[in-house]
Amino acid sequence: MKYKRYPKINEEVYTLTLENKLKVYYIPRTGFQNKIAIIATRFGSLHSNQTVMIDGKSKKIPFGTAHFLEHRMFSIKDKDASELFLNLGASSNAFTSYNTTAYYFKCNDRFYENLDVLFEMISSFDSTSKQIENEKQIIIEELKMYQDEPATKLLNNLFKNGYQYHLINQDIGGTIESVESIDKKMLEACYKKYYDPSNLVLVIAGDLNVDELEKYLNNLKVFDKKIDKPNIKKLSFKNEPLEVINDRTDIYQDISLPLYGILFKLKPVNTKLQQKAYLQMEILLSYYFDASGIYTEDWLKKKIINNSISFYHGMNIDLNYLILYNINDKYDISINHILDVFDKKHFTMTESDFKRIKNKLIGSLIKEYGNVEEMAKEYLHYLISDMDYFKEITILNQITLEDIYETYLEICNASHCIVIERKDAK
Amino acid sequence: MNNKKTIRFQNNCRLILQKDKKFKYIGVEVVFYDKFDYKNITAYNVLSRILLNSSKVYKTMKEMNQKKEELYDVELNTSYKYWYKLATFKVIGNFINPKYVNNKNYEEEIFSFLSSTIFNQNIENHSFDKDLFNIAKDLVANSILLQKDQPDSYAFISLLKMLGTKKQAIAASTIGEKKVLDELNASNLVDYYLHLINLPFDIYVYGDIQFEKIKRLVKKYFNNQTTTRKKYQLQKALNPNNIKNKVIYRDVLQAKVAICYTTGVLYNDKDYYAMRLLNNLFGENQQSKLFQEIREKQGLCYSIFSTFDSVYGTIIVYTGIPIEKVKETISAINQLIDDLKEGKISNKDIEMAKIDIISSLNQVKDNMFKHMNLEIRAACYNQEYDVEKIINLYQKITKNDLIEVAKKIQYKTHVVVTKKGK
Repeated sequence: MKYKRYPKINEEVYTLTLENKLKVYYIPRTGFQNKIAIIATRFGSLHSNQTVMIDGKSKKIPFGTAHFLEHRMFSIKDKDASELFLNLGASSNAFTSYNTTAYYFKCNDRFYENLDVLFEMISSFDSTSKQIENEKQIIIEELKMYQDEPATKLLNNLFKNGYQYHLINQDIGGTIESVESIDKKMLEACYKKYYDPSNLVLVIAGDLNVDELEKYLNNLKVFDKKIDKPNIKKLSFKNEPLEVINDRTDIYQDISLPLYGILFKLKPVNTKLQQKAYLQMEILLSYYFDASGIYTEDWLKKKIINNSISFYHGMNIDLNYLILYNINDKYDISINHILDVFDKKHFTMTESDFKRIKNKLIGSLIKEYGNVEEMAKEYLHYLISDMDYFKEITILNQITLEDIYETYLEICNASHCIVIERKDAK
Repeated sequence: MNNKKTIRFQNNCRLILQKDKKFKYIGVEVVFYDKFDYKNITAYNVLSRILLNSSKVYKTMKEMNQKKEELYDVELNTSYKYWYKLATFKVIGNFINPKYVNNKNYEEEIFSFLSSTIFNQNIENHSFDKDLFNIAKDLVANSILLQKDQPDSYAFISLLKMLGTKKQAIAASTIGEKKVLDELNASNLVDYYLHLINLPFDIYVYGDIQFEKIKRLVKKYFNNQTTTRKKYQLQKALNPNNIKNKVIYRDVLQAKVAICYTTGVLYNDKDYYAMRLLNNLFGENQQSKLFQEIREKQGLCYSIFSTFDSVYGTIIVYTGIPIEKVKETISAINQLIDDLKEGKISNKDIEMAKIDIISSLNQVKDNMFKHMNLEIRAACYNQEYDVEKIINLYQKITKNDLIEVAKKIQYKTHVVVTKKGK
């Protein structure tokens, strides 16, 4: 296995590409009981509307298909992978995001037996039509569960108001109608196209013997039956305009206090620069809106905000957005104050502020690296987006105050939309 | 974990140290022990927001939080937890291992900061800063209001409220009461604060630590005089009389159902481990009876689980289901309980539940705060947390033991949050 060391943070990563093109990453965690393995495919909700061949015809992938497939992948012929994992002392789960579907288990012992189950599960699609029909009801209940959450509704509406063509405007789970339209043939076709080992990555973390792991991986016999490398087109949403669709939407929601969100539609960033862009945004927003922020205490005193403003910066394929949200009766006053910050006149960060926030991020990252499960999931998240999680601190140290100012100007120049959920909206 | 040490100081404070080199951060919990009083929930909730955001040294929210950033993201939090008559107020903190920091005095600064946060508050003329008090009060007022906005947790909270009066720990709101909040001011909150800091306390410090150094720092910064430790009753079997079911109408797409069963089995009872195992196979693990029957076979829900509370001996089942399927789901869940009583438990069910619980117990060793919590709970019951002994107790449980504890389960009541007109 290839070896890479990150001396400043005392981290190391072993990598191996198998003959079938599956890429494996092993991150040692000496002394920990917990071992985790996550296998992920580059197939998520953004791949909806791509095409697959069914009965010789090209068919569009319905919304929610990646998530549906995630639900059914635990089926291994007449067995249930969750049960096999449990019998081996492991807990297992899966998740679907915009660009990924991932499956994982964590255990203390019998790691390789569990890894066998993970590979067996991922190397074939075994659901029956009856199981698929039954799963639809479960998924529909899942969709309803999330739709009953005010924050999910806010997020979905912000994306719908902000984006015309980019598929961020669709729920990861799809709609009740799209879920109902998905059948066995569609799931099989998507499985065949997107679950080829060349499209998968495996991240392992724990206290394992490297030689033993390498030997296991080199003797792996799964995926052998696959021969043709699928033709997966690179996703592109370059036709998305820089302007939002609707500036403002007020929606009815049965809640005690109004919840609002502002989405800034930022110019997409080249993959190679995304990691730096994330960190720059984190520094800028901490400076303004964290509990230590320059406005937070004053705005709380004046009841302009309720609690610190929450923020989320998301980047993906041809996508870059910032969402700020809060709960407040005086939502209009609150929104105006936030928008005023981004009028190109309110950048006041000093070198000492900048250094202090960098310290905070360094501390926060080192702590994150110390948690086996969270670290492995974050490592995968970065990997899928062609970034290196363990380079965060190095990149952080390359950022200058001028870079932060550039990020500030980007927000000032961005088109934005507002969604307000409240009881008195019509 | 290895290398544990307990030190008792002259002021009656105990320092519990666990050295483990694998962690990249150090965790601290300062635990105060008190008698449960429902008013304290509200008062300590407001107080927490003041403690975490100011002190005599860092007077404003901005200064205090900037100091946390400067110290490489010191995270501070609080928790107020109660077991019948005993309550604990915890200040929880974590900071990175000093080896990553180019500052010889890093640990000294952290302990000094932590101590001033707890024991050296910004009080002038027997009053907290009024602006900060008002911010804290507003935040709690809004949290009380917002409880209703998450329909799933609201079903849970509403069920607990029905099981006692608001003054009893089982039914008391975990956030607080508006009426108590209205009576609080920047001055009378100081009384709560002074009461708190004069309570007996323990300090837990886990991570890659040097015992002598931590001992010296605790001795230097946590030398307050504390009162004598008292014993409080920790558990009481809940067996309320007939409680009517409740339906709450909200604009929801899915009905949220919470069902309460009583068992009479408590933490100190001989049946405790059997009941925990039974609950695991009934509604906790991924192959549980609830998951298999209600979700996988009948396709009625996405999420379903049960929790066992050993302070009161209750089992609560929660699920989200189609609005028109409430009656049949509750009936199907009750049938599963009856099946347990009739012994419809396979050896495979038992084996999987044992594996799941033992695996979780072993994983605790990697989570310092979970580990601390288990140690703290055991200490409250005057016990040593001994994972090997607990695993051994689980291994010995038989099918008959499970059937016997299943017979103790009694349906009590349920709450449904649903849409009007359905």
